[in-house]
Order: sequence, then C-alpha cells, then structure tokens
Amino acid sequence: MGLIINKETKVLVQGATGKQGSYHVRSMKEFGTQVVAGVTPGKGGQTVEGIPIYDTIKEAKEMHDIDATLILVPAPYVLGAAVEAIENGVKLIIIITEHVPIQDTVKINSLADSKGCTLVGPNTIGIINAHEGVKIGIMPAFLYGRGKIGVISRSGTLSHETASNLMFRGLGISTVVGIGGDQVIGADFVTVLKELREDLHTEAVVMLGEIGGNREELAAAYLSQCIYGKPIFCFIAGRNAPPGKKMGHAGAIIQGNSGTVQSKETCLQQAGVVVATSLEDIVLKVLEWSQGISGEGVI
Amino acid sequence: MYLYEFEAKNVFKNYGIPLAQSGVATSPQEAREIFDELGKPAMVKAQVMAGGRGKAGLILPVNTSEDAQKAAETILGRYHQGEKVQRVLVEEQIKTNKEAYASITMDFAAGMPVVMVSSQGGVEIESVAQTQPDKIAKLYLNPWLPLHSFQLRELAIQAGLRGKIALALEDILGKMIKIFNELDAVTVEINPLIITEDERVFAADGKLITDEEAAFRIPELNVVERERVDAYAQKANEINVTYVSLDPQGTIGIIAGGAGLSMATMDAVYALEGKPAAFIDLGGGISRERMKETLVLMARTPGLEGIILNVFGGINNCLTMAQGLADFMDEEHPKFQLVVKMRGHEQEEGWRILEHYNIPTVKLETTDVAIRLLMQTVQEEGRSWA
Repeated sequence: MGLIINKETKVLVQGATGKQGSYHVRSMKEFGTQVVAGVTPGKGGQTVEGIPIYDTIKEAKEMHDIDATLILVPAPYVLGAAVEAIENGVKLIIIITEHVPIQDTVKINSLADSKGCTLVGPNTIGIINAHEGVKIGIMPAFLYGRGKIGVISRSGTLSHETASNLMFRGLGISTVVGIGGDQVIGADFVTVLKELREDLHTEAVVMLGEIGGNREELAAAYLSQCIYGKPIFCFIAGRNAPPGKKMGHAGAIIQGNSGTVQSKETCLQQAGVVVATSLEDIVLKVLEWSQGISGEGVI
Repeated sequence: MYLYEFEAKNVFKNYGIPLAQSGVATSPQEAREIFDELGKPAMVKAQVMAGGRGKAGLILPVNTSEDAQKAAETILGRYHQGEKVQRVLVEEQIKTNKEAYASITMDFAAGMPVVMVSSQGGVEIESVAQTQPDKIAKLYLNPWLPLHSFQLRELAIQAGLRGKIALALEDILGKMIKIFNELDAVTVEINPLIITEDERVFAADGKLITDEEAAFRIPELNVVERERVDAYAQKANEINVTYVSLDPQGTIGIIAGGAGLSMATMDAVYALEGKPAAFIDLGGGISRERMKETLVLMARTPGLEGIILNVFGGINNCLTMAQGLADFMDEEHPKFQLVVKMRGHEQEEGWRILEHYNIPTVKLETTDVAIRLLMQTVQEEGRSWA
C-alpha cells in the first residue's frame, strides 16, 4: 500500500480507547477518513465514536477490510502492536507514538520490509491527503488547505506551520507525509519523494528537515541521479543550534559534518533543490514559484 | 546514556570480556595506592565523556608509585572539552603486539545494527575507514534472525585475524552483541582491542552508549551521578520537557512544540536580530500542570524580557495549553512580555482564555510576525506587565 491514501483506504486504530485515541478517531472520521475498527487488548466489545473495538487484529480482520493502521499505544507497547499488525497482513503501519526504543523500531522496520509493508514513523503526525479529504494521523486538518504542494517533514509542528502559512497565502497542499523525528524511521525523504513524483495532484514538493543524521543528504543523492520532473523546496531547522546538544527529537544530534545545516543545504542545492533560509522564506519561495515570478524550475 | 570508560568496563567485566586489571581513583593518593596494588607499569587515564584524551595529554604511562601520583595530580581537575576531570582509571599496561578494533553500533540510516572488526585499530581508525574501507569487515544483523558464532569467526577472518585470535574475537564479539541487545545499546565499542605476543586479546578501552528511551526495561546500570552543568536542563528533565540554553546575554525565551519548531523559532529570532536566552521543547502529551511548570521554569531564566509561546494543537491541545498558561498568570503575575502564537485542535477554546487574560495572540500569521510583535512590545513597554 502506497503513501498516497484516499477515501477508500480502510483504517484501523490501535489505542483508540484512550482520551487521545477517541479524540483522533473522531477527528479523522469528521475529516472523511474511513476508520473501520479499533484494537485495544482487554476492551473488545466496546465502541468508540461509533467504531467497534476488538481484542485482536485477527478478529477485526474477520469483520473488516483493513488497509492501514494508526498506532497510538504507549511506547513500551508499540513493538507488540506493530508486529501484530504486520503479521496480520496490514500493509501500511503509521506509528504516532514518541519515545519508542530504537531497537524496537529496528525490529518493526526489518519485519515490515520482509513482509512488503510500509512503515511511517515512529514519532510522526501521520499522513494527510488534503486533495482527497482524508488523513491517517493527528494533524489538525483545518490547517491544511487543499492544493498542489506535497510536503515531507521530519517535524510535525513544522509541517503544521508550513501548511497553514501556505494556506493563509492562498496555497494548498496535496499530500503531507510526516516521516518522524527519530534516528531510525521507516519511510524516509527518498521513499516519499518517489511517491510524490508519481502523484498527479502534486506539482511541487516541500522538504522540511532538521540538523542531525544524513536523511537530507540521502535525498540529495537520489535527486541528483534522477530527473524528478517537479520543483522541490527545502528548509532545514537548527542553523543556530549549539553543537553537540541533544535537542528533544532523538534525531537532532549533530553527527560530525554530515548532519549540519551547511552540509544538508549544500548537497540539496547541488541537486537542484531551492533552499529557503527560514520558515517565512520557504513560503515566499513557493509563492513566487506558483505566481510564476521566480524562474525556479523543475529538477 | 553515555557511560564513562570505567563504567563501560564494569559492564564488560560482568559479561566476561577480558580486560587489563584496573582501579578508579578520585585523588592522587588513591591513584598511588591502586598502582601499588597492581605492582606493575600502568596507564593513568582521565575519565571524561569526550574523545581525544591521548592527544590532550590525559592518558599518561607510569612506572613508579611516585609517577602514578604525579600523573593523577596533573590530570585530575583539568578540563577536557568543558568537562572537569574528576576521576582517573589506573590500569595495568599490557605489552601490545597489535591493536585491533571491534564494535557493534546502530546504523541509523540503514536501520540495522552493524558489527565492525578491523586489524588496524587505534586512534587512526576513522582515517582507516575513509582511506581503506576494505580494512573494516562489516556484518549487518537482522534483529529477528539467530546469530551463529561461526559468522563472527568468519568476520574476524575477513578482517585478517586468524587462528587463536579469531577464536578469541568470536567470543568477545558474541559478548558485545549480548550487551548490545540486553542493555538496549546504540554503541558498544572496543578500540583498541589489544593483541599480545602470545595471541591473547584484551579490551584496552571501552565505549558503551545506551538508548535512554529504553530505560524502562533495562537493568539499572551502576553509574556515577551525572553532573548536570545546567540546573534549568535538570529541572526541565524532571517535568519531561527539553530546556536548551542559548545566548547568556539573551532576552527572549522560546517555548515551542517539537524540536523542529523550537529550532526554527530560535533561528528566526536570531535572523530578526533578537537574542534568544533559551528554548524549551514541550514535546507531546503536555498537561495543564506541565504547561504551567514549563512557563515557571522559563520565567526563571535570568535577563528575560519576553517569552514567545509558539505551539500547535496537534499531539498537544490548545485548550489544555491555554489553561496551563492561565494558571501561570494567576499564580506568578509575570513581569515580562508574552506573545502567544497558537493554533490547532481546540484553538477557539484556547484563544478565548488568552483573550480573557489580554495576552497578545497571533492566530493566523507566521512565526516571524509573532516574534516581531514580541520584540516591538518589549521595546515599547519594557518588562512591566500591564
């Protein structure tokens, strides 16, 4: 199952019965997502916001088609929840939970790979397709206007900020994928870039990165080897970050030269990406492109 | 958590990895006593977090009790990359024939642990990795598949380490992987791994970094108290948010949701020629009480003239955050300017509370607009709160 979700995508929620869980089930349903069932071990038989809760995914699968699962369970239970989903043939696994141990993510990722599943996260806001009016995630959908710009972000709040700032200036988004802020994640910039390239509703792509790791560098390597066919804009947060400090997101640790803002911007620029220097600047650059003012072209 | 060498070696010892004899000293006198107990030539090694100790003169060979005491005197109390040396490890010298390298570490981009072995260990291992990458034998581990000991022996052979040494490596690597798995480590490293004339193998250094997110399930490690240089960071840790000190002359405090937005807000304050004193990343799942505590903590930052609260109702909730802010206003009656930029889940309910308290609120505009508003208000009205 790809990352461009639609009205037909049938969604399971693992951890739907908590206060957060039921809030987001309601919010997804109101936006137009087909949330078909929830799984919380020990709470089978209950209903939340009109959806049935089961003790196991196996039972849920007997009653419903399930294409994707949204995992909201506490960090110590994420490994078990994700493995249950993968072993039951759910093809898109989205993990919202933060503070998941790295070795658990490694296990989930490796199992997902071997079974042909796509993992998004952990520590992500999920996916929203504003064009279709569907989301599997926790983002406030009213901050995401409908339009033609795809967004890939390591940070949830940077995604909210950029999508809403674009909307206030009359621009909208097609699909946003939060890839998550952890050091080990499933789908990365490259995975999502490939899908947005094929997406007919996406005419340009915004990448929101951060210091630390080498995922932006890997995206640059991919982009320099292909004819992408759409313009790409990026913003990297953390140019003034004190070196070597751990900044909340596990991913944001400066690792030698490869993780600095300079290294990422240089690589991306060389690959033809339009590099913005601030949150304000990225919106202006996209606006100029959409109005045909800037000559920023297609890579 | 990053363990000191002596702490990592305690773990290694418990898992049966061969080590030189050693003891930890906090005073020159103690160092001398440990030397006398060992009764042979030793190394006195500073226990600090950062690398590059050898080049900084923080590892000294000693041959007499007198030497050991003097070396400890020289090293203790010195600073290495901002950290004061409080302990030295006094360790027997082992006659080396060859220095090898062994580690298991998380390859974050690949999303898999990788075991690495090289016959060319020592301080130049990083340049070996760059200039002769084939000199480092690598084995990626699938976390779901059993690892057989022959694979580790094969890895040693691939690195050019044969016979008795390959057998010793099979054993040591197996133990390192056990540590890696059982302690939720991200790195277990031995550099150098000393090979003696008679082909015995010892760990001469030890590096162990564990994943703090897994602290809930790993056995408690026997480690010394970590000195938190920053009392604010310490307090933030207690209320489960992240506090990062920035400019000591800074006047603006940033509270934001998420590391990305915290850093982008910091970048924007600098770009608008403001001086951020610190930022706090709220992370997710913020409660009313923790929101208030976060504001109290930021308000204590010296020299503060204004705070910008730049948050979203996404994983957090606008109403909850506004309630925490209201509690803060009621209890603390702050004497500085405050600007809030907030939107997302339950924004209307949150905005209503902010209006009630007359807090300038940026609803549908950008971070730059909010920062400008704060800087302008500070300039016009100073620190006093209306």
